[in-house]
Parts: sequence; structure tokens; C-alpha cells
Amino acid sequence: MTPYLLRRCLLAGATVVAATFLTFLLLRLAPGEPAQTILARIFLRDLTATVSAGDAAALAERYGLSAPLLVQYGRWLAAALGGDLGVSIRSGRPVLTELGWRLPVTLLLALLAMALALVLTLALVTARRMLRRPLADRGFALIVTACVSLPGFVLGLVMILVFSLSLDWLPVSGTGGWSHWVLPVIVLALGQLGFTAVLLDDALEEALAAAHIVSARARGLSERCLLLVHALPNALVPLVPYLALQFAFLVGGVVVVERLFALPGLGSYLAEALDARDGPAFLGAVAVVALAVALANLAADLLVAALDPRIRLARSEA
Amino acid sequence: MSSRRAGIAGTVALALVLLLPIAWGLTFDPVEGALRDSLRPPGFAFPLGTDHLGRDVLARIAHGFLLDIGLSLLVVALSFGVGTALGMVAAEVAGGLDRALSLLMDVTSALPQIVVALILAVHFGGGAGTLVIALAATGWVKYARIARAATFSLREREFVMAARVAGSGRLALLRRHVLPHLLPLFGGLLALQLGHTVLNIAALGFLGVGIQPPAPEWGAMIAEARPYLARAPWLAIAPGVFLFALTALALSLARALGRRRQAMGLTAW
Repeated sequence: MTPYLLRRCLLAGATVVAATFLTFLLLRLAPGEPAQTILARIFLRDLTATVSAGDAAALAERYGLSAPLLVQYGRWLAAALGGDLGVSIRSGRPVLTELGWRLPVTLLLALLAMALALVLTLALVTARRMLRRPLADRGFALIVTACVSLPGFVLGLVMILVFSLSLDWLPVSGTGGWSHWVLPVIVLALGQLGFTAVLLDDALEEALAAAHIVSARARGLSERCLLLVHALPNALVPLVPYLALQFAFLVGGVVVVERLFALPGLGSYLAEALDARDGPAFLGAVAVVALAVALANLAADLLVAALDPRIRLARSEA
Repeated sequence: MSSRRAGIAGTVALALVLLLPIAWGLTFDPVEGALRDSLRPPGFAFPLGTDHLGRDVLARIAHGFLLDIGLSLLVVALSFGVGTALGMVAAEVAGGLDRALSLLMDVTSALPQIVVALILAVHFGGGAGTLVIALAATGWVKYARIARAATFSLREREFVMAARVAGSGRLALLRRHVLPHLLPLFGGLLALQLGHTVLNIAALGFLGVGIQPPAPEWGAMIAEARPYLARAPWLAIAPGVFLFALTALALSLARALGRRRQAMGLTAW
């Protein structure tokens, strides 16, 4: 168990380092001297202005921009591990503080959407299995295809059109009361529903083919009892690692949905930092996203190992 | 059998519904427009109306289709080529190279595609090149995983060993005896990736880091349509419907091809 655990932790760390190092390199190798850009942006508020070479050199010296790139990245990583993600070029505030404002919005959005998607998935899949009619199969296939094919920003715009502009039930965008969360959460959840429903359905198919189901059926248990008590719990185990992979996909959806509904979360922070060429802010946001995805994968691996003794044994031997 | 036939009929019908208007739209100009024609609702002169600059929406959708599908095919071809080659070579060479590739695959698949595209856009700016590189940089992993696993099992088969004993070089062995057996595994995945790539290109266009205006890209068109949502809803809905139809088409194709893969006794990607 322990070497396995250690390997997964190392992998999670490697993922975060790889993502931030790649971002760091691309930011630094981008055209434009960082020191000059900082001076021009902050003090002159004009990107096209020219800055004297002496000023730029002094600033580069002060912020360590003249050191080799690898050393600079090492310094950033060391500071980041100590909780210092640098200062935003755009606002002059610490990046960590700004991320602290943005993160709760994204977390709430993602958790609500994931919960809604799971509830809908369970309802959809059990309904399909319990009805056991050709029409139920067709309906299931239709809903799944629609959910997978309909991009969040199209669905979101249509829902804004219907529920906000025509019916005037819900606000168009921004934050405020609970009503601002309804449309973003639904859009994000429906984006997940297609994948999770197919995965759970496949897992259930496999679980229903197991020998203990046959024996339970021979004992005369009702089909409903077979499905809900004997098959469903087993089908949920293989779903866990997929949900972690799904989390990376969810983050991509969060970026789009936050932009669409003008929510001040992590995704819109990432997009804004990119628009403003705010290097430290962008790097900090990428670090948080990579860390979240890596932790989700790690948690899923550990959860599966805890739930399924077969995997635990197989992997500790490997 | 009848449901299978109904599925094929549905796919063909969807393809016709999608392609006929696009063929018609290709005969119009996607960039030229007159301001006096701006925000016209759908009608005789403009089948799907006009946007805020008076450009024909159907023409823009049709030319956007060529752009989106062309770039998507490029992404799929790159992912397929790179992923298959890396997976086969890693399994054949094994050892350190294989472990390095496994690590690279794990790290790559842990990063969200959209975020990778944003990261690359920092350096290269928005545009078609960035888009293709970003999506292929994350798309190759699935092919590499399948190719690697399948090559490992093919290596042990008699005909491959026979070729090895007969003195076949490693590359020739992979090309002539392993690759032909891998190709049938990829049908469903290729169609699936095509559908996802179309969606991702549109999503990045919507975020403003993909294809830049005035090029007619579906996601960028939807982003441009947002300020006019209340006055001219067709501007956002028309490209949205085409995007939906194209993705659904790719996915139904994926399901048909994937079923054949399952029939051959091969399991999950």
C-alpha cells in the first residue's frame, strides 16, 4: 500500500510542477522584456511607451529577473510552497489574496454542479433500468447525446434567452442572491450529465452480469432490490476514478460558464489575467487549477483503493 | 437490427440537414456586409438573418464549418499520428523510455484541455496554430495508451515473433505487423475526438483565444452575438444549432464505430 501511495503523491506533485514550469517558461519566453512591460504598464499606463534601459535594468535586478530562468522558477516554487504567489502586475495586490476572493465562487459553483449532475445521473440511470422499455432506452440515448453535444455556452445563452430575457424569472449574470446561481449550476451540471450517465450505465451493466446477481435472482429477490441493493453499490466504485478525470473537464467548463455568466471565480480570473498579460496572476491561477486537479485524482485513487480490496491487493503487488 | 437501421437513417438525415444549408451558404460571401442590412431577421434575402455588421449569417456559418471541421481534422490527425507512434515505440523499446512516456501521459491527462490552450495562448497568442497545437498536445494521450497496451499484447503473438526471428527490423516490424492490427481499434475514438475537438475549438473561439474575428468561427460568432441576444437571438441560436448538430453527428458515428470495436472483444479506452 505505502509504495503505491507514495507513487501517486509523487505523480500529483510532478503534475503541478510540470504545469507551472511550462506556464512559467512560456510566460518568460513570450516577446517583451518583463521589466519593461511592468514599468510601462504600472507607471506609464501605456504599453507602447518606451522605458529607459537603466530603469528596466534596475527593476530586473530588484525582482531577480536577470537570473537564469531555472533559478527564477526555483525561487517562484520555493516562495509558492511558503504561500507566496507573488504580486499581480495588474492590481499590485498579492496573487494569493486575489485567489482567496475568487476561489469560493468557483468551489461553490463546481460542488453544486457536481452534486446536481450526480443526482440527475442516478435518477436517469435507475429510471432507465427500472422502466425496462424500448422507449426508455431511446429516451436515455437521446438525453445523453443531447447533453454531450450541446456546448455549455450555447445552452447557457438559450437559457438566458428563455428564463431571463423572455420570462424574466432569473438574472442574466453577475452575483448576488441564490437566483444568480441557478442557471450557471444547471448549465455546468448538464454538461457533465452525459458522460457520467454513460459511465454509470456501463458500470451497472457489468455489475448486473456478476454471478452474485444471478444467485440473488434465483433466491427470488425482486428486480428493484437487485438493482438498488446488489448492483448499484458495486457500479459506483468504477465510477470514482472517472469522476476524478471528469473533474479536469469540469474545470474547463467552469472557465466558459464563469465568462458567460460574469461570475468572479477562478476561471474568469485566469481569462482576465491572460487578457491583461498579468504573468504572476496567471501563473498563480494555473498552479491552483493544477493542484486541484492533481488532488482530485489522488483522492480518487485512494478512495478506490479503500473501497475495492481487489485493486488494493493488485497494485501493492505490482 | 431495426434500431440499428433507425440509427443509420437518423445519422444520414442529420448529415443532410447539416450539409445542405452549408452548401447553399458557401455560395455567399462571409465577410462582406452592408451596415444598412445590419441585424435583419431571417427572411428571403438572408435565410438566417444578418449580424451587427450586416454580414450574412448563413454564409458565415457555412464558411465557419469549413474552418472548424478542417482544423478539427488536423487536430485529430496529429493526435492520432503522434499518439500511435509514441505508444507503439514505447511498448517495443520498453524500459526507461516506456516509464517516461507513462509519466508524461499521466501528467498531460491531468491538465484540462481548455487551460492548456490558455497557457499556450500566453506565448503564441490566439490563432489557428495555437489552437491546433494546444488541442493536439492533450489529444494524443488516448491513442498512445491504446497503442501501447495493444502493442504489448501483439508482441507476444506468434506472427510477430516469427517476423522478428526472420530478421525484420524494429521499425519495419511495427509498421508492417503491429500497426495494421491497431487501426481497427481507433474508429470510434477518432469520431469521438472529432466531436470533442469541434466543441473545444468553438469554446476557445467563444473565450476569445481561438480563431480571431473577422474569420467566421462558430464560437467567436456566438461570442459576438451576445450583446444582441435580446434584439437578434438568431445570431447566437443559428451557429449554436449547427454546432450541436455537427457534434451529435460525430458522436453517433462514434457510437456506431465503437459498437464494432466492442464486437471485436476489446474494452474501454
